[in-house]
Amino acid sequence: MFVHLHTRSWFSFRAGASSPKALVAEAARLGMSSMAITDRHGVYGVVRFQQACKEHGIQHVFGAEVPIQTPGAPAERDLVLIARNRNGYANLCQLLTLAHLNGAARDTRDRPFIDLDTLSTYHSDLFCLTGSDEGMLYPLLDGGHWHQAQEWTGHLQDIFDERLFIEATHGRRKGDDKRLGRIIRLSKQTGIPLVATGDVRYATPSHYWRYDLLTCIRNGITVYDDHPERPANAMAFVQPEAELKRRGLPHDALHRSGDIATACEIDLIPGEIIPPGALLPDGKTSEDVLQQKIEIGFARRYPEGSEHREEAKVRLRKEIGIITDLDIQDFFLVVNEVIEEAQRRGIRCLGRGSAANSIVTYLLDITRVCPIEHNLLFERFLHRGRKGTPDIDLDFDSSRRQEIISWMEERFGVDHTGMAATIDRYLTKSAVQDTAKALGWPAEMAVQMSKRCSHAPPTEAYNATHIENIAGGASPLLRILLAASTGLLECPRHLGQHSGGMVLTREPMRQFSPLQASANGVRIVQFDKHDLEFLGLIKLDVLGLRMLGTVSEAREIVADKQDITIDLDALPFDDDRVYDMICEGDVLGLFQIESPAQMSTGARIQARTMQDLIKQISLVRPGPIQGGLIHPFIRRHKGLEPVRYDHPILKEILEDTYGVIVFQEQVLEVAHRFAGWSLDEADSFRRLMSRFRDATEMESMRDGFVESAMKNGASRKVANRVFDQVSKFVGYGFCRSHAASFALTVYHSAYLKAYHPAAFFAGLMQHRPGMYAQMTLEQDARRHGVRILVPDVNTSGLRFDLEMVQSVWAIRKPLTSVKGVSDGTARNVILERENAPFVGLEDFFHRVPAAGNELKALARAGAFDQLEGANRTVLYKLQVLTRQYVKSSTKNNYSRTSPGTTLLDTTTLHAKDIPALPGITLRTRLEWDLRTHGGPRVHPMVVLRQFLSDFEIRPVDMARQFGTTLPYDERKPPIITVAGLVMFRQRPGTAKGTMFIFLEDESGFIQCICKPDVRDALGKVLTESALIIRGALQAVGPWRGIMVEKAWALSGVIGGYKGRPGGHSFGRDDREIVFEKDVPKRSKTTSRSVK
Amino acid sequence: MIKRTKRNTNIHFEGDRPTLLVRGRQRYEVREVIEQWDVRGTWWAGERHRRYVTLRTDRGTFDVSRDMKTGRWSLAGIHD
Repeated sequence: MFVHLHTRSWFSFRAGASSPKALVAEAARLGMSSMAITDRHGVYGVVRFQQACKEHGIQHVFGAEVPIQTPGAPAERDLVLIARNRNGYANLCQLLTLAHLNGAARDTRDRPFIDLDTLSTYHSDLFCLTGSDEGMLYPLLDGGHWHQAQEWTGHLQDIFDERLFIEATHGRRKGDDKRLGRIIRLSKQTGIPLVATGDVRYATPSHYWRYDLLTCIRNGITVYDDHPERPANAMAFVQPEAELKRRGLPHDALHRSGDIATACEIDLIPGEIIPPGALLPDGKTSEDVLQQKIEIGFARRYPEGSEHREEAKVRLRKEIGIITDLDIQDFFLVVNEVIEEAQRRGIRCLGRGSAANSIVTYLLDITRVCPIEHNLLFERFLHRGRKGTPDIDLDFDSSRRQEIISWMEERFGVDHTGMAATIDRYLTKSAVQDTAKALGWPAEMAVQMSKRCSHAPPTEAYNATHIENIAGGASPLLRILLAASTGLLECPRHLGQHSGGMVLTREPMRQFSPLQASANGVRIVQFDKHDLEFLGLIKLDVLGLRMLGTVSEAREIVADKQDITIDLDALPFDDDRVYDMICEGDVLGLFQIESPAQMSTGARIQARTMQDLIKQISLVRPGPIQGGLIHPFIRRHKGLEPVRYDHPILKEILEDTYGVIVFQEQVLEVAHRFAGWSLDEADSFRRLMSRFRDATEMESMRDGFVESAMKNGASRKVANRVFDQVSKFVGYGFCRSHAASFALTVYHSAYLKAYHPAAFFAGLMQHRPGMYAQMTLEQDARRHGVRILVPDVNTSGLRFDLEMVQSVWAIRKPLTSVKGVSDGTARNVILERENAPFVGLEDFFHRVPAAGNELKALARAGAFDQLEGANRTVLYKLQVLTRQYVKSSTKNNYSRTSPGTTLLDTTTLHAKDIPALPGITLRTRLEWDLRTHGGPRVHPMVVLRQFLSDFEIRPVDMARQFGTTLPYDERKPPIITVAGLVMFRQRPGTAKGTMFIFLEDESGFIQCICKPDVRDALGKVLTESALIIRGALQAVGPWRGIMVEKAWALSGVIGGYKGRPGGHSFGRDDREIVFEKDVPKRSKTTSRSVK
Repeated sequence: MIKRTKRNTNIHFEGDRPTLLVRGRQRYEVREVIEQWDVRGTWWAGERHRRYVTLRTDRGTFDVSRDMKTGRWSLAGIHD
């Protein structure tokens, strides 16, 4: 019986057009007993393929197209290798790994290759097919190179012997009859048996257009262009045996494919978790070691007489039972080992996510929140029915994360580690853009079409109208664009790198997956996290969190400068000053709660405990926002409306969130305890509920839920009401454990800001974890009494640091904060001044080999202000020195930036060379500051203040006076007009078209809310970088916002905020001096000339 | 050299085998089917799937094509 042995799925990344599922379904429909997947240069689709085969009851065969480089051939050509067994699969993975590494080493990542020598090393248990159009043989036969064809098959025969087959295909294309004749002849002459394949690229002829479109996209051509890789017809589908016979493929060649498939047997899905091996002392089992570590942790976390000790004992017994049943003790020990190594190195780290639901992870120091105290549900993390490995996410100080990854590679072995991949698929924007380009629209138009599309399919009314507007009206081709781009959705586009998932294997990685280099050179496996779960492999998320770096840095600065040791992990969570700051909305720079949405929610909630903080963090998520759950929560939290429960069980589950579902665990518990589902079923339900669904899917879920709840004793009416409530939790929401872990870091960052603002802001500016610009951070630091000092060649280091100025801590900006100054030059400056401080620009120029643009940037940043004064003279002097230097170096062939070639005696400044120059205007000063180190000494709006005041435009902090010193009536809110720089705009998907504009002036910042109708009416004005905004003031507690009614562009703001050219200008034009042009001109007007 | 033409043509078959090609009043006896191939049309422009056949007849060699939807044959080219 014939079996398709050469089949590309859409995991060939734009070189195949159907999912493994569709291919297998078609093979099953045709009554085939087996099928192979042989994707291009990888095994990306094998897990899903095996699952699909299992579902349809047919045998799976694994292989891949492997690129071979041969001397004399212009490019790599593909062989089809098929794995006979697990060893063959490991060899296939090894060959693919080497091919990808070779490609990366040659700087052609998209063109992997191996040579015949490598192939001969890893050939065992592999069947080799000579390949089709992309193989070596067909071009040789087509070109009449008979002897070379014989020679090529001879090389392969030497390696594979009786496991080599000449691939015979016929795609009903012009020339295929002739080629098939030659293939048959070659087989007869060489004695190498033929095997027939369908050379499948898609499941059915209806997918042909997608294959053609993807081929055009992959090759960067339009559908109107010819290309040898484009399909001539729609014949590369899963053809039945009879069709291939009709095309003339020999009977024995067809049947040989079945013989090969029968000889193959691999099972990649083990049905169990295979954790990497933990380090164990001699004679000890992982069970012993885990037990011992848990006991130590228990004694430390729950000492005799502690509040939760007894409850913790019961919980621990349960967890250990499940961990033992699943036989994953090694997994916990390995994670513990990583944590211990980070602690040993002083790298701040914290486990988060559902792992914090476990007491075992708490006792092993993997997480830091007590699951008993926070009422965290273990089953959200692990239960006996859980499919796949438990998920543990570890956050590390982002600046030192790589250190941990390197250690893990060393500890577990490079052959046992790799980063997880992501399968990046076509979404609406990318599908529209790529399809439009392929259909011939100019690239700029294609980008415009895709830019404003929502996540809905291109054919959805909003998207279709937008695309039609850009295209200039309806047309038949536009209809094709909409349909074709919709047809591309979900099709894999390329392999990406997971943000932090590190795969650890007990057996060498090649037993499971090839490795390849990501765009930034990281070794990644060919599977995403879902596939890895099915493979039973452990993925440990090693994530970088900049806020941990900020916190570490701030602690170190405090210890270093103030000699105070802060033990953040020992802080009690009851500090009023911390909560006051959060309640007042003074949260800029804090972890997780600095966004405008969090500011406004925080002002309403008025958190006074960690539990409040956990809830606040969790409320501003897509799930609760889209479910409209925030307002009921806040009203009930404030006692403004009563809390009612539809069922007594719900009271137990939802009591601490006032009957509102805020956490994922609550969905799980409702499904488990109210609907009576098993934990496994409840967990699946939770996952489904978290996804965006259509109405039909939702109703089918409702039926199941209601039926089950009724069996569990609830009435239909109540069951439906509860389902309505659960269904509001659509989209992503936090699990309580994750929020509790995050709340720790929120508290730590708030504590540092409240008590050590200078060190906190220094850490913040160094690591930049949040969403605000440097200028905004500096403004906020000043509001907290922290001075900001510009970079200085004699005092600045490589990091933001503190200096005592007039008994107050000030932040000195580092030399590396100056744009255009390299790290190397900054280091040279610091090394050189260790000999002696710089005494002037000339001294600096002679001692530090810096490029001309670096010197200019330092001068403009104010790094010579202490030596030369804050004026234009320093730039003039630089010009003189540079000219003298250029003249001399041309003569002596010196290079300024080459080490050891400074020209100490060839450049000298004479007073007569330096004219009296005018001082720097404030506007120029601010512009130079903004351009060079991102933070002006005063806010740019200061320049315009007088002008704005004349127009009755007020500073934004005036808004705070309403509701405090001025009356505020929310039914008749005051209309105010403010002006400022737009620091950012947000249009979150959950806000139903509302745009939020974050406006900042010298007095503070304010959130401006722009409803969809106003946004549409104002149009392009809102895209301006500085705005005047008028609207009704909103005041809730300490939070202030403006409901936008009108807006005008504020043009002419200095320092990169120039606004629309030709618009109304406030103040004078910029006066940036370009010395190369200005110096000669100026020399005419001054008494001295430059020589 | 192949001359391209779009003139309608009739093909007579015996079973699957083409036997006679008729162009207007001209009748050509098919001696051999040299080659067959399929071409999928421009999917974005609505062009349809066609099957091409090269026939050697008693008075020359012809490419004929069949619209796979309508089943209509036409002469696609004449070999010199």
